[in-house]
Amino acid sequence: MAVRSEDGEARFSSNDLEILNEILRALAKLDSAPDQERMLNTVATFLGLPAHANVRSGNGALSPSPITSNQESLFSEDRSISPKQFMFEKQPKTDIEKVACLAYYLTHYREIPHFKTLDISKLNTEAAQVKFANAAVAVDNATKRNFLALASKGMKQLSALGEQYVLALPDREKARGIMENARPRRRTKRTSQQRNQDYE
Amino acid sequence: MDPNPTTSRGRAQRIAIFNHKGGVGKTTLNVNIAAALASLGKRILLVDSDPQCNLTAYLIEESVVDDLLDTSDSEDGGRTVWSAVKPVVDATGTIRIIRPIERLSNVFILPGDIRLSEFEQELSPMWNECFQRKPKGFRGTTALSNLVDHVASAYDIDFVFYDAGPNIGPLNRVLLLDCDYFIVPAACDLFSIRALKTLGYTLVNWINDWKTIEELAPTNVHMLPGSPKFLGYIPQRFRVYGGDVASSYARYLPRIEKSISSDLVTVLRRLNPSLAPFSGGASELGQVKDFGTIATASQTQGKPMKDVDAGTPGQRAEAEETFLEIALKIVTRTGTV
Repeated sequence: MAVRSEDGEARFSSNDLEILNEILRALAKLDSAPDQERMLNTVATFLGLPAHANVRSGNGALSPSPITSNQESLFSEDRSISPKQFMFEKQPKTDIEKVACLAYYLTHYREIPHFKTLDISKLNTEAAQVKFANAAVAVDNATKRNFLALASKGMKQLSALGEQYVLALPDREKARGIMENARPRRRTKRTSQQRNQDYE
Repeated sequence: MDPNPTTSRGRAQRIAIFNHKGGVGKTTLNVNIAAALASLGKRILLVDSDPQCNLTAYLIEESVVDDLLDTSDSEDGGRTVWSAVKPVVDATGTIRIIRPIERLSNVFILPGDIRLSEFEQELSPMWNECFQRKPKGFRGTTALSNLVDHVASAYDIDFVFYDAGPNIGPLNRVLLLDCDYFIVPAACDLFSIRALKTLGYTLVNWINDWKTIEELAPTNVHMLPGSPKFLGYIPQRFRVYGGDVASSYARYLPRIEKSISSDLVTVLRRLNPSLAPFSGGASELGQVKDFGTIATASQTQGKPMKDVDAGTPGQRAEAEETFLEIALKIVTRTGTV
């Protein structure tokens, strides 16, 4: 792992240098610089790291795909936590909780505060979660439970309750407490006896 | 540049679950065997090479599948097998590497595409070009194999499963020739037995043709291994009453075994004995009965049968045991313990 010197600059540890040497030795087996560049870009693509900007394409060389906005919407490239890891940490148990967690991820890690059901489905796929039997129904149910709220143009957004709930997960006791506090207090019907007592 | 001739196949064993008769449960087997192998700690890559995209729809939500298909043609954003082979079809370059999508734990999928039928159309002239020693022919014929080489090594895959469409077209020809092994699922009905009769001869023709191509091939082109071995067969979709196979289905089981032996194993062995190392009852990998509700739920929920929210715990346990037995046999027979 890279260590930082006092001036804050990243320095290689001995283990890093060993790995670097191995990589350089392996790359040296390739004939030309373009071949080496192609290999490095391929590795970057597979690891989900930002690819080199200077990627050749359409010239017959086996070039990895450059990262585009479209890919970014499906496969996160530069995030502190992957959606799969986020779901693993939150451990949602029901489809409704899954929707809330995915909505939280979209809002805070992808900066997509307003989203459609398709965005939730795509993120669910990316997070390697089992598919929703019916994503529209799951999103609808999450809205009914007040985890999501309506936004403009038929889109949805994460509600304050949804946000609190996801933050509480995976502590289910805490999450339950949040749901109980959020539940509107029901007015108990006054019995005729109580009413009579009031009059007296 | 030719399709990367230096690419190694890696250690992954490639298996096609193939029968040109439709509705024999190829896709269901693919998912459930993959999940069983994953539970044994293996890493699996599923390649949906059927233009019908059944495997993709099995594991990925419909809306996402639609989106994948809508964007598959775009130069940069495509994520399906078609997106990878498109530059080869368009003759603008070699394959474009795509990242597989992780679905179940340790199970990855390269999504299929309806436009693979266009690739299939191109594969016929490309096959002829291989006979003419033209590099373009080899580039196209080995495009799918080349893609799998890269993905399987990058993701440290142990087993690659091809979900083949129900036909004996050019696409299935190249993927069968890319496989180390193939498994034949057979439903307990008359049509399945009839299909088995032609399977062996078709495979022998493909293997012979590829041998000729191999002899003629120029150096420095990517080649397919061209000798898929018969790993076993799986009789499927029969009903069980009181612990026994229902009589209407039971009469087909010996007929399937006989047909496998005479129409497939014998024919393959005539060409090369190593192509069919198992014969008779020994070649049966397992029997998969009709699991009814949990089989349907498995498709709608995108999970293997053992994990679905349907059926009884007993049914799920039985399904788990069935596929685990098959997975263990696959691991043993392929020597990947």
